[in-house]
Order: sequence, then C-alpha cells, then structure tokens
Amino acid sequence: MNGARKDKASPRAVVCVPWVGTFAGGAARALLDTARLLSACGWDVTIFTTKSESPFKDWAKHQDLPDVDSLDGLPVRRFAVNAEGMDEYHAINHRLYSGGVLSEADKDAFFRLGLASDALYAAVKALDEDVLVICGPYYQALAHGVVAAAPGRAVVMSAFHDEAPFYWEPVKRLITGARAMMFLTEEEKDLTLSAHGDAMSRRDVEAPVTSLPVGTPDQPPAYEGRQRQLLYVGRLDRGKGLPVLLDWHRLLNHRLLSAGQEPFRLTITGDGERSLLEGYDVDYRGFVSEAEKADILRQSSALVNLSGNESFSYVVMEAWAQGCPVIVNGACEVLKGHIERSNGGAAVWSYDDFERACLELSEPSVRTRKGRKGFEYVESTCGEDAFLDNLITLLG
Amino acid sequence: MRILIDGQTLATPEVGRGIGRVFIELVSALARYDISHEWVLAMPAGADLDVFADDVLRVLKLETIQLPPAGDWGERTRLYGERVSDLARRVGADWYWNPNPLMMNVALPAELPGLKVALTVHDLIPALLPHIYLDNWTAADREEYLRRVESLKTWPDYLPCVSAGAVAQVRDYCGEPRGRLDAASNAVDFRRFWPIAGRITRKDRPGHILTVSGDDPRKGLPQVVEGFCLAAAAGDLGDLTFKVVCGVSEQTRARLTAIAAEHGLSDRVEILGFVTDAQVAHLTRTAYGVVFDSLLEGFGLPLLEALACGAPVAAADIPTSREVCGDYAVYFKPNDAKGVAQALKTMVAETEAGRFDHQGAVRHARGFEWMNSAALYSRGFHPQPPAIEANKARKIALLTPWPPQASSVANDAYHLAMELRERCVLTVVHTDDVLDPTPLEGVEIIPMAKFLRRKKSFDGAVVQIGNNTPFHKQFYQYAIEHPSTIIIHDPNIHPFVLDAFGRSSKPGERAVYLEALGKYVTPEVLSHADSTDFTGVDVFEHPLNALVAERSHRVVLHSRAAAEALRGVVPNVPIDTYALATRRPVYRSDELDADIVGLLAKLEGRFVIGAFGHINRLKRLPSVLNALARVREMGFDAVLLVVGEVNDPSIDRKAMIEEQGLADHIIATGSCSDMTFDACLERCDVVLNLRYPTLGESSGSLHRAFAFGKACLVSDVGQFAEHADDLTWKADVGEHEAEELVQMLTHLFKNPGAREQLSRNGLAYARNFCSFPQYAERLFTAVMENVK
Repeated sequence: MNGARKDKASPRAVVCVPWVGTFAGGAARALLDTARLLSACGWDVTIFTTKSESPFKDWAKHQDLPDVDSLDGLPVRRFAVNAEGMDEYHAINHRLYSGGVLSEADKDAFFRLGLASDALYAAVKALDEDVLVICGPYYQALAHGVVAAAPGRAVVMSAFHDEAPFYWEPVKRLITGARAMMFLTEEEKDLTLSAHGDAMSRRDVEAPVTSLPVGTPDQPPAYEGRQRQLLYVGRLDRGKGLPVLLDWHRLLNHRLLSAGQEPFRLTITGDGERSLLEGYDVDYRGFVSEAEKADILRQSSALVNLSGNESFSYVVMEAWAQGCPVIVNGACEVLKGHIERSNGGAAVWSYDDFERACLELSEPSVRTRKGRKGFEYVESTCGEDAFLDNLITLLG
Repeated sequence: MRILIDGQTLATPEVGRGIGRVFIELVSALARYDISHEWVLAMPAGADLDVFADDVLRVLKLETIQLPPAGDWGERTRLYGERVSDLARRVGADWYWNPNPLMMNVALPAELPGLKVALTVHDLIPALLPHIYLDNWTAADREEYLRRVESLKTWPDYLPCVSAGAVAQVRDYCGEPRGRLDAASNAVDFRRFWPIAGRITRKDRPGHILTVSGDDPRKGLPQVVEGFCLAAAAGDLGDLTFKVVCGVSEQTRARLTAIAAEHGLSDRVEILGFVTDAQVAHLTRTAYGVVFDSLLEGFGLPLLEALACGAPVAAADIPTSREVCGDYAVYFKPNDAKGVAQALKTMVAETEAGRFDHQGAVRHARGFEWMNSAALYSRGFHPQPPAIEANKARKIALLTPWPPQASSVANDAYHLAMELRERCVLTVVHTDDVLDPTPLEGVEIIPMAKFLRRKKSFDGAVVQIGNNTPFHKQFYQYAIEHPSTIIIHDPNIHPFVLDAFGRSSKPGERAVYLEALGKYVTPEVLSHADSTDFTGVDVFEHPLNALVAERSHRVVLHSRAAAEALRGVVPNVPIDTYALATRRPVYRSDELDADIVGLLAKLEGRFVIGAFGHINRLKRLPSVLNALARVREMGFDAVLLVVGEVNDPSIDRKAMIEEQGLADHIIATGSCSDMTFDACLERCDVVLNLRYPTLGESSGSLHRAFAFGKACLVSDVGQFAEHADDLTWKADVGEHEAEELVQMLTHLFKNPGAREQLSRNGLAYARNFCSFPQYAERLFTAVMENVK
C-alpha cells in the first residue's frame, strides 16, 4: 500500500555521485533525484560521494567535508579523493582542451585519475550482491572506477555527449562492464550505438531509455497568461544561447510595435553573467523559488531554450509539466528530438522560425494544445511513474 | 457484401466515451482487417472524422445522410427510414448495420425493404430495470424504446451483442429472436491501458483505489463510497485514498462528500468528477486497485481496463462482471456497502500477500481483442454456409497445383483440400505431368485427362489460376471453356498468358492470348501485338484476367485492390475477396538438419532481418542491401537471412554484396525444405516483404510471417498498402526507400515492444481472418451458389 511490505526487507541501493550538497550539476541532480525516488518507493538508499567540496576547487586539497552526512533524509557517505595522479590528470586535461595529441595511455589515465577514490571503490566492492549500484556521469573517473570495482553490477547514468573523450577506449570498457546503461534520451542512445555499438549487447540496444524522473501534477495546469510573455530559465551564460534570444526578442518587439501589435515581455530567471542582459528590455527576476517558477510558467506563452548543447533539459521538461509549450534550438539534436516526439512546441533554426513560433504560441488555444501535448509527453516518457517503469524494465 | 454503417453516433456526445468508443473501435477493426466486405459509412453532416485513423479512412466509403429533425418519433422514424433506404439503394448496400440502435438520441428505421439488417445490442437495461428508467421517461420515449426492443425479436437478421451477458438479456426479454445472436465482446485500447512494469507504491504519495462510474441509481455510487469508508475506517486499507471519476450533479457530490465526512475521511475521498480520457487512463494505470458496482451492465469496460493495467478489481457480482473478470476479481453483492467494504479488504489483503496475479490479469485482458470481435461480425455479414450434412454428397473438383509440385499454391492446396473434404466429396485434379501426387486420405486425386472424361459427373469445380505456365496452363484452358469458380492468385496473369499461349506455335493458342488482350487494348495496339513475341505490349498495364473472369461463375481474389481493378473491367462478374489462408505448422526442433541448426546458432544475439521466397529484381534487393549497410554503420549488429533462390539473371548479387562490404552479414539458404523455411522464419526479428512492381499477388510468405507472429515491412503499393498500419509497416518505393527501411528497422530493433505488438496483431489476424477452415467455408459457400 505504501512503502515496502512489512514482512519483507527493503531492497537496497547505493547511488555514487561525484559531488553532493555543494554543487548541483545536471548529472548530479539526476542521480540524486533517482535516489530520492527510489527511497520514496521504499528502497533503502545510501549515497556514496567524494569529500571534494566542488568541481571548481582543487579536488584533492579541498576535502573538508564530513565522512558521514545526510541529504533530504538520505544517508551520505563521503570518501577521500586520491591525491595520486592529480597532476598527471590536469596535464592531460590541459592538452585535451588545447588541442594537443593524446596517447592511448593518456586517454586511459584521463578516466582513471582525477576525481577518483580508491576508498569509494573498495566500499562498493564490499557491498552485498543484492545491492543495486547506480553511478555516473561518464566524464569523471569515479563512474569508471565503480564499474571496474563491481563488474556487471553497476548501472551507469552516462550522460554521453558528442565530444572527444566519448570516443575513447575506456568508454567502451565502461559500457561492457556495466550491468545496464541509463540513457537520458534516444539521441544519447543512438550516439552510443554509432560509436560503441560493438560494445553494446542486444539487451542494451533493446533496453528502454530511462530518461530522468520529472514530477508532474495530475493534470496540466490551465494557462493563466494575460499578455504575451516569453520565459527563459537557467544560467545566464553565452553557451545557453541567451545572447541570441535577447537579440531575437528585441527584433521581434521592434517589428511588432512597428506594426501596431502587442509586444512580448521576456522574463528571465536564474543567475550568472548578468552583464549579458545590459541594454536589453527584459524582466529579470534572478533566482526564484520552485513555486514562483511554476507560476511564471503558467503565465507564459512559451519557455525558450536556444542552447545548442543539452543532454536532457530539465528546464524544458519542467515547462511541459506545467503545461507550458517550448521553443528550442533546432540545431540541438536532443531538443529537436523532444519536440518531434511531443509536438509540444517548436524547434527553430532562424529568426523567422522564432517569430512564427512566438506568434503561433501567443494564441491561447494553440498554447493550451501544445502545452498539453508537452505535458502528456513528459508524463509518458519521464514522469516519475514512467521513469520507474523504464528502470524496472532496464533492470530486467 | 456491401455494409451500410449507421454513423449517427458520430454526432452524439457519446462519441468520445463508452458506447461511442466501441463504435469507433469496431468500425476501425472491420475496415482494417476484413477485406471481404465493403464498408460505407453514413455520417451526419459535420461529423468529426478525426476519430478515425488514416488507414481506416482509406477504406471507408463516406456518404452523408441528413438526420431527421427532433420531434415526433413516428415521423422521425419514417423519415429516417426513407433516407436510409434511398442511400442504401444508391450505394448498392446489402446490409444496414446500426451499432447503437437503442440509444435514444439516434433514430432507428422501422423497416428497410430489400436490406438485411444488423443491430448491435449493448444492453437492455432500461427494459429490464423499468422502475429506474422507463418509468421515469416521457411516454413518447418509452414507447419508442419499447418499439425498438420489440423489433429485435423479428426484424434484424443479425444481432451482435457486446457480451454473453447482453445476449442473455436479449433472450430474457425477447425470447429467441429470429436473427442470429453473437457475443462479439468489447475489448480495451491497450495503447492507453497497459501495465506498469512494477506496481510500485510510494511512501510520499499514497496509492489510490479508483472507481469509474456514473451518476446513475443502478451504479450504487453512495454505497461504493460508504464501502470504502467502512473498510478504511477499520484500518483494512492502509493509507490508500479513493478517487471517484464520473460526472456528478451537485446533489450527488454533496451526498458523497457527506458520507466521507461522516467517517472522518474527507481527506482520503476525492470526487474528481468528469476527467479526460487521458486522465482516466493515467488513473487506472497507477491505481492500486479498482472497484466497480452496478445492478446490471452490458459489459463493464472499466473492469477490463483495470485488468489490462494489471490492477486488482472488486466487482459487483453480476453476470457481465464474471464474464469480463473471471477469477481476477473479488465479488460483492451489488449496491451493498458492507459487501464493498469486505471485498476491498480482501482485495487489498490478497494483493499485499502477493497472491494477486498481475501478469495473469493482463494476459486475461489481452484475450479481449477488437480483431476477435471484428471476425465475428465479418462472419455474421457473410451468407450462411450451406448445411454440411445436406450437401456432403456433392461432388466438387479442385483443379490445382499439387505436391510434389514446388509452389506455395500447391502446398496450400493440400491444406485447403483437408478442409473441403469435410464438406463434400472432393476430387483433386492435377496437371497430367505430375507422376506421383501426394496422397490425401478421403480425397480422390486424378490427372486432368481423367477429369475431362468425367467432368459432367461433378456438381461444381474450383480452378486455381496463377502465373506458372506448367502448373496452370491446363487449368486456364479448362476455365475459359467451362464456367467454374476460379481463384486468381496473381491478378495480373499477363506473363503467364503470354508465355503459355501468346508465344505458342499453335494458332489456336495464340488466339487465346489475343482474345484475352483484346479486353484491354484498342485494335491498333492489338495490331502491333500480332508479332512473334509481342514486345511493346506493357505486361504490367494489362493484367489479362478479364477473359477468364467473365467466363466464370465467380472469382475469388485476395485483395481489395485486385477486386476493384477487375470490377472496372468486368463489372457483372461476382467477385469474392478474402485473405489468403495460412497456418503455422508445429514441428520438433530435433527434426531440423544439423546444417540449419548450426546456421541458426550463428545468429544468436544478432538482429535478424529475413527475406523469403525467390529473390528477383522485384524484391528491391539493392535498397535492402543499402539499408543493411547503413543499419550496421549505425551500430546495430544486424544480419540479412535470405531464404530462397536468386532466380533473376539480371541480379549480380555477389557484386552487390561485395560492394557494400556485407559478405559476412548475409546468409543465404538457397532452395530449402518447408521445415527449414519455417525454422528460419521463427528466428527472424523482422521480415521484409518488399515488391515493386507487382502482379497484384498476395504473398504466401507474408501471411506465413503473420502466422508466426513476425514484425513485417512491406512496400507501400497496391495490395500490400492495404494492410492495416498496425499489421505491417510500409516503405515507399521511391528514392527514399532505403532511408525509410533504415528508420523502421532501427526503431524495431530498439523497441521490442513495437515488434511484440506487430507480432500480436499478425497472430490475431492470421487466426481470425486467414484460417484454412474459414477460407474453405467461404469457398464452398461460393461454389454451392452455382450448384443446381
């Protein structure tokens, strides 16, 4: 009825995350949401993480966090990061980003050194056989070490991207050593197939994309907008397509006002490079609470995400969970794929596309219909029930 | 038969729910799968056709009918009857089918002279519970309803009911009606109601018990709410909440809310009111369990929907609940709160103890399929087969290729003969060159020469016409001289007629070709045809089947496209269309050759794409190889299994394969035994059955693949495009053919659920529409129409 049956022991899981409590990158959030959801379903979940305080501080030197902790009621165990090999790792990383040549040994070292923890690996190895192990993302050595410590037992939430390290041999070993792969999108799975299909078993190919758990209300909330409004949610960062959005919004309103039509308000929430907003007529709110964000989504014609590099996009899913359609960058395969499968908005490649999409979605009936489509897509593909369903199928 | 479907339901509020959904599903299933009838939908002006999928709309012929104005029932009935009769006459309908004749917001004619009539009965609840319904209706409505129910006794020829329970209601009220009764069960939409892999409940969100009901006295809604509250207050339901889905009046809502409040459970009882279909589906999928109460039902769709989701149910103990749920429900006395409470307590206890078989419930629900019901309807619309005992002495000859002649027609003829011999004294006639025909107990097997000496002793003959000269030439000659029932396997028999007759050195035989060609071409074209090899005459453009068709009693074809084309040339010849018969033989794996066992072992873990039959340029080999190469580049470990011979000298298969670097990923068996064929078919993940251009033939290997439950891809042309979109996926034959194949193959590889659904649909189609017994019954009925 609720939770595990009283007459049976709760199933157990360990979720291995590079950083907890000090940094909330997308992958970490995804793994922690998975941990919370499993716990809500009666699993006995423990989080394994490192003592490193942040990806932006020296991983080996800044490890001043307690060995035992808790997060939202979940026990957290922290393990020391290996100091050994850190210089070598940073040297390889530097060569990688400056276009230097890397040997096969360098590539191996990239995924073996850095954010690695022998203590964490030993703890994983010592776990009972029936404990489910989930780890990720692929970019840090931690996941590789966990898989190597418990071959055939760890489920990997990889978050693969089309970038140089993805194509290296250690990634193939990660796939073959994992119990199963938790892909966030069809696009990630297709990318993996094309690069590492020989490492994937038939079972891997046939396994469902788990995506990420996104909470949804029972029904999509009604549209409450009284004016044309676009919304941006996220980090104020050039890499997120924000400058393009600002320029297009400015041009859009110039054209609308010239034609005597109602302009669009652009509301922006989040923080980062605030200087990007200078000179633009926007409604900047800074960080807002989840409740406020939901309110703004219900009042908006559409959420706009012009980022060219997304691995999943929680922001888009959250918008759809509130029945708000989205306008995305058509050049981003992941976002384009979501739109194609959902019909919950528009993918745009040019200003003309953008203008057309804005005007279409400013029509309340269209906005409601597309928003509902997006809601149904989220509910059926990455709503919490769908996520659990896919995870159980994945685990066989 | 041409069936005129009454589409008034499309203009009623019920179109999206219950009775309306049954209408849409039934019409869709019949249009998709039953090629033996033509379907004409009489719809009110402005009806929303978006309720039907594209592949359904491709089949339905649409006619508009004006609805009578509201008012006196007598006048409405008379006027509507006239309009239906006029329409039926204009479209040449044989049957009038009203899927919802007892709904009081539609009209029902009183008589339709010259038309057979089918009326679907959902229930007779108002008649059987008059104190709740009829007694509270207006006199006019009551009189009209009773008129309709009374007419069930003698008017309709066919009475399909939505359940055995509904059949019983008809018998209870009407006695045994004149028309044939059938229980063509409702089914559930599995695209909306499916089981969640793990029925997980959450600490942060209590599970819910659901009821989907109606604000109707017989539904016992207050008792259900009371029952939940009793059980919950006693601590028997843990933290479970109760969700009530149905449109309720303010008065009812207040009453239900008060019941919950009396028990202090206001926070656990939620009256949701009317919700969307998507919400109903979501609530059912995520329900801990479902409860359903009623004094009387025609079916009880919420129960089946719950079982389809693997949810345990508590149901009122009435006949239809038992019929729908079987052993998968806890039953209670209808409209009894304490009974509901006890049932819920038991349901929860059994589930918590792990004794409810969720997967079994899903399997049970999947036994209810719209295709099964459509098959019953199809049978109901066909002429009744002749009584077997009364006709068992009839002598019928089957002129056909026969084993050991190597053709699918020959193989299938054997199984057809096994069925026909149960209905008549059957004689199989083979061509004179067959020296050692395979025997069949109870069937005389003779060569053509012997048959010709005895032909007058037979009551009727069936002749199989195909494109193989040695196998069919004698039969064709017989068929154009002696009216028979003919089965044309390849509707375009031009290659055969040209080879067998056109290129003959015998003037009499060449004349046969010219006479056949003359049905299609002008004398000018014919003059060009008077040459040695008739080059310049387009074989694909002129099927040359009109001559043998117009000389026959009746023609049997296997696709709508073929029938439509032939009707255009010989409009007065009776043509029957039904699906090619198929079967799935059972054999033991230890009967297989070691070679094949070894070959199949090599396929372990790989995605196997199968191509069956003779490989020639029509089978789209270049696109297939291109698609295979691309699929492999994308990372899929796919292999092409070619089961058959390459018999087209224009194909340099070896060169093609080497060019694409596929030598290690193509396995060819060459000519093989039936057992090897079937073993390879069994192993395939996807079967390709691509053909263009075609001779209009239906594919025996495709139908065999249905019988084996395989996901099949076909070319989007002619007779292959006719298949329902949930039966086969189609690839365009244009420049994007390879790309489309790649898209479909990769999707099927990644999604075993999609393959499984195509598999289920193929199996159901083969079982319901392609069985040999059914084919034989229809063929025998057709033959007997011309027996004196």
